[in-house]
Amino acid sequence: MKKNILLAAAMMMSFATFSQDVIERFFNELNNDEQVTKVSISSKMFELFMHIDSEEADEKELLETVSKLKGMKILIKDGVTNGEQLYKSAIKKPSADYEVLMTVEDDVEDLTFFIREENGVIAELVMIAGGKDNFVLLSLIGEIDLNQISKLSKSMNIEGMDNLEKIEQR
Amino acid sequence: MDYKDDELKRLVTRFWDGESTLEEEKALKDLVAYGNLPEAYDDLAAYFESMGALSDELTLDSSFDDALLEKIDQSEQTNVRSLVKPRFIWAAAAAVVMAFCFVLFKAPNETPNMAASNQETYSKEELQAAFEQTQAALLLISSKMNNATTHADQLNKFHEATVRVKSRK
Repeated sequence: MKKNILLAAAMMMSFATFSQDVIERFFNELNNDEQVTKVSISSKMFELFMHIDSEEADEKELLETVSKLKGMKILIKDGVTNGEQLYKSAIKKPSADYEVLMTVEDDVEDLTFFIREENGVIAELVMIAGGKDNFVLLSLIGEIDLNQISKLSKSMNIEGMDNLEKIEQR
Repeated sequence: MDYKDDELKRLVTRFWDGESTLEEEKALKDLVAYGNLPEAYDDLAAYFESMGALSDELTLDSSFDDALLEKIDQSEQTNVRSLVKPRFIWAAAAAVVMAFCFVLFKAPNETPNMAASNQETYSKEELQAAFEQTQAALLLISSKMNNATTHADQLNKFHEATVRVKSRK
């Protein structure tokens, strides 16, 4: 009986460790790196976003997307010489729970999107991008609607790198 | 009480068969005690005398009660130790496992800083700054996703053009 209880406890612990947030692990690895900018938005903050008044249509659209999110983490390492290496290392990190959504590799930057599904819904979207002098790791947690996210930049007409600079300046 | 021979015989038979009542047994004992039992029933008299001697020998003094009560006390204490202690250990072990699992399952989505910040109230400026960062991050994802889709569209167009050229030939 005691052996069975110990075995069950050990299995629970190993399962818990396995399903630990892969992004969190990468965050911890680069914890002491001064070149790294890390941003974490908690679920509480996402709840508070719902109290923001907005009259503009594009902001309303954004708020609608945000309302289904529960957490966000961003890790940016700029001015690096090993962005491509970091990218290659990072795309190996996600466990079997994550599936590759799309990958783009060109001479400027390599990019991979991973998704994690729960009950047929995308519960996490991870974006890993690495170029010659930059590295970005981004994780969105919550109920994610890819169509809605895709529409955002079209409606606001903002290029990706502009947004990256916007984050880095903070 | 005086018994006729056949009544006494029947009574003694009932006694040996284990069918006599307590009153009948007492009557037989009285007959033995007062020497009123005929010699034919000497075996019964001998039996009652031996039983009386045995019961005298079996009388327990007060030290037996003390010793017995002491043993019962010790037994109760031992039982308490053997039951309560393992329950406590397993309850504690279960609590530790549950706490460990709770931390691992619950914590991944929140860094320690985030967990701490949950307890705080945010100013309007902080809320606005967080919202702008979220907006920027979402737009970054959106534009990267659209860039990737554009690449895919271009490949599709190239494929469609190739198929069209091949079909003209």
